[in-house]
Amino acid sequence: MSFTIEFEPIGIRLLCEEPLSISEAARRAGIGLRSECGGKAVCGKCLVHMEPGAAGISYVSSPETSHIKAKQFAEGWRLACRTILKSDAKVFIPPTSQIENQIVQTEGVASFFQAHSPIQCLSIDISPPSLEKQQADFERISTTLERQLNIKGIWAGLPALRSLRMVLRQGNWQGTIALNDREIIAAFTEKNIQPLGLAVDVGTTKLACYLVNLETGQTLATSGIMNPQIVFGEDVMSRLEKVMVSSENADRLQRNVIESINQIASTLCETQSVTVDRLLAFCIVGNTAMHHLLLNLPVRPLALAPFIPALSSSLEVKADSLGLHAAPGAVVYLPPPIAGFVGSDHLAFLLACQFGEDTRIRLGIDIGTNSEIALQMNDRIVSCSTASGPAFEGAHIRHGMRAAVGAIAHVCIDENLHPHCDVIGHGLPMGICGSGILDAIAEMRRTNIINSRGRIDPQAAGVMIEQNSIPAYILAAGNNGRHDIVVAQQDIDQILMAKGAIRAGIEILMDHFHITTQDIEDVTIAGAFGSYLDPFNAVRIGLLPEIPLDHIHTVGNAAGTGARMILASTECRIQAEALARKIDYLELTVVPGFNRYFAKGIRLPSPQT
Amino acid sequence: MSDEKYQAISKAVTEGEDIQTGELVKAALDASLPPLEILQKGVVDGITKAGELWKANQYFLPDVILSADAFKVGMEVLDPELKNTQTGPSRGKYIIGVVEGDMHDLGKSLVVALLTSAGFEVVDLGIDVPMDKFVEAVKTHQPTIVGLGAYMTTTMLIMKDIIKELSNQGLRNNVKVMVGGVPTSQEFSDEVGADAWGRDALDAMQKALTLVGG
Repeated sequence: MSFTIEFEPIGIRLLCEEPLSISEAARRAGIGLRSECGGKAVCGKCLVHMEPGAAGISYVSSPETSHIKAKQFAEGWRLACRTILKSDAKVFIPPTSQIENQIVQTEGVASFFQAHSPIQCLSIDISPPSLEKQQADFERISTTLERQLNIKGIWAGLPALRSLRMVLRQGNWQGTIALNDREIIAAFTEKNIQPLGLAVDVGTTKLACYLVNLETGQTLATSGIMNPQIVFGEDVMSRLEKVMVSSENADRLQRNVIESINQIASTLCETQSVTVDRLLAFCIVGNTAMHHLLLNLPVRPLALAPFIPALSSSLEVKADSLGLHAAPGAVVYLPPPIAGFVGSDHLAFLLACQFGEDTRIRLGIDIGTNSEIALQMNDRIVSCSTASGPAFEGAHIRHGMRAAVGAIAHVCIDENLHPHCDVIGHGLPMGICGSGILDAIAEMRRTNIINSRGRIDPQAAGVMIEQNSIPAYILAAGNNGRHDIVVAQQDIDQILMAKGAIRAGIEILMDHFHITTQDIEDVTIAGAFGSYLDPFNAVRIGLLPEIPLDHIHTVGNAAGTGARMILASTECRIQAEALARKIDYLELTVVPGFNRYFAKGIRLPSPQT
Repeated sequence: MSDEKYQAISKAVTEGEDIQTGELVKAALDASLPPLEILQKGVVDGITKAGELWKANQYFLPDVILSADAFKVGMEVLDPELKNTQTGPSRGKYIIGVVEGDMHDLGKSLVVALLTSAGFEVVDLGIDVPMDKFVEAVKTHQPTIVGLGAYMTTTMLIMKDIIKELSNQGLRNNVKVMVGGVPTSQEFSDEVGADAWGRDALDAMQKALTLVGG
């Protein structure tokens, strides 16, 4: 009996005929999984994560437990070399177990803003107490600061008070006090230190973190990893479903993402030779489901129509209440979610791209597992969300993978219908990433291998006929035991449905404002996938209507940029909250004729000559 | 002459021309053609052909969506006239709806079109249908089959409750239950205790025919 193993986050699937170890499966799929000891359960480097309680798995227990603590084991961590799979399974390979690191988009648009944070670091030098001057520690500092800043009402919470006492006495009454407005949130023994903060964009698939100097607004270091919640389901709805069936899962999903943020924060701080207790502020953006899962807010009303979020205002909480490792009184700011399916990441994206600041007719698209689309006209912005699915990132595509070494990233088909492929890293192709599959479809359409319905011509050169007479086009012929890499009919269907969903959203917004393609003055495309998206292809496959290519810009992870701006600038924070009030949400499923919009959005345009 | 009119209607439905379909059906009625023939040789013939093209990988989802839309328009024009006519042999009554909390209309409308084309008398309860309404409809209409659709992982959980409620009210033995929608699967269908699972609209139609022994 055959079964399928799905490797996350790389998005590769392997069809297996007989029980085998995860290491062996990874090897067959061509994935670089670490194995310093060669699969003898000695090195402990091939740690992978499985959904706890998954069926059809057996373990060789004794050597495994020597590398895995009971708690980790219960959470689903396994040694790949010791774990035998017998039926369908999903395996998550953490970055630490991978030989090649993935490209995770963290760059965004260049941001121009004036940093102005309520958080400041003040160097102090005060006289120690004596029997004559018996003023308490806190008052000793607060009166000094109040005099220095000419303000009143300085206060401190309990965690900050605890550290204050220790730090001052160790630092010989010299050091730095971190203030958030009038609240003392941390004390350090060093003098003249920079206030640091962390901006986080929690995506359904990816988590991007930015270490920012709060005084200058400068980004000091960035890092991104896959969202570890992915083992609970690829899309937002399946994760919400997991939480609905078990409250234990709610805790687990929250812990997963917090632990990952802590892990990245610590790595980023190391690059600046500091520890995480130097982090004074966080700004976390994400879609509304990620926002709720992070805060462990009830999700049931969000998961079912009419999809009501728990709140649509901004929120400020202490970092320790979420389990984030940071300075004792560090604060976490979460910008307002717009609606059930349009989150603060969308708001951050629009802020970073200066939506709401001019009167041009602009289209903003953030492509992800859920894609959000905004149309701005005069003083109005209307946003909608569409379940485009992860097909653009290579999921549900037979030989799909994310943009990593071995992925076919560009395809060109010549007049003899012969394909030419560019492979990331210039080695042998392992699969196709999002930009490659779009290229392939656009080129297949141009050369009439597929028609406007997206059907593959079974007679065309390079097309093979598979089971149930379904055609597939061969991109790279296999050799030495490697399989062919093909674009199958089902792959094209997946992509067409994804782009149809986005195109439907665009058309509905345009009709909502009674405008045509010619009226659109600017198109801004964001999202990790967006930066690999060639505007030419976006128009060629009809993801976008026929807009002049010089009006289309890709900006990468703009939501991350927005998060950094909101983190380091009070003005940007105020601006974001004002922008949020300006955005109206449009629910697509209730738009009359949605089916026709979607159907028409799926069609491929005629090839241009 | 009348055959040409039927063919034109059929063609308009197959090609997904909703407005044209409506006009052609109206013209056929104005020409006093029998409504039942307009239905069978025109509208139903058109949607059946669309289904066949889909099966042969010549049509894709959007083509069937557009055909189903045209079919719906044709049916709306035809319906008042059909009420006054004997509709001919039926495969049985089929109640269909999308479960509570779910607003997705697309998949269900395809199933409705194809079931009608296969000769079922379809009662469409619409989208976001509460459990009570399903139960009530089963009592009132006494259908051969009830079909539940869910298009989100979160809403499909309710299907189990609906099937349980049909049992509790002693209705389960008299009606076959089918489930369908993107996140569902054969395993899910078995788990919730349904009689059949429709992988897509075509599959749903074929499974429904199997259930009634056709």
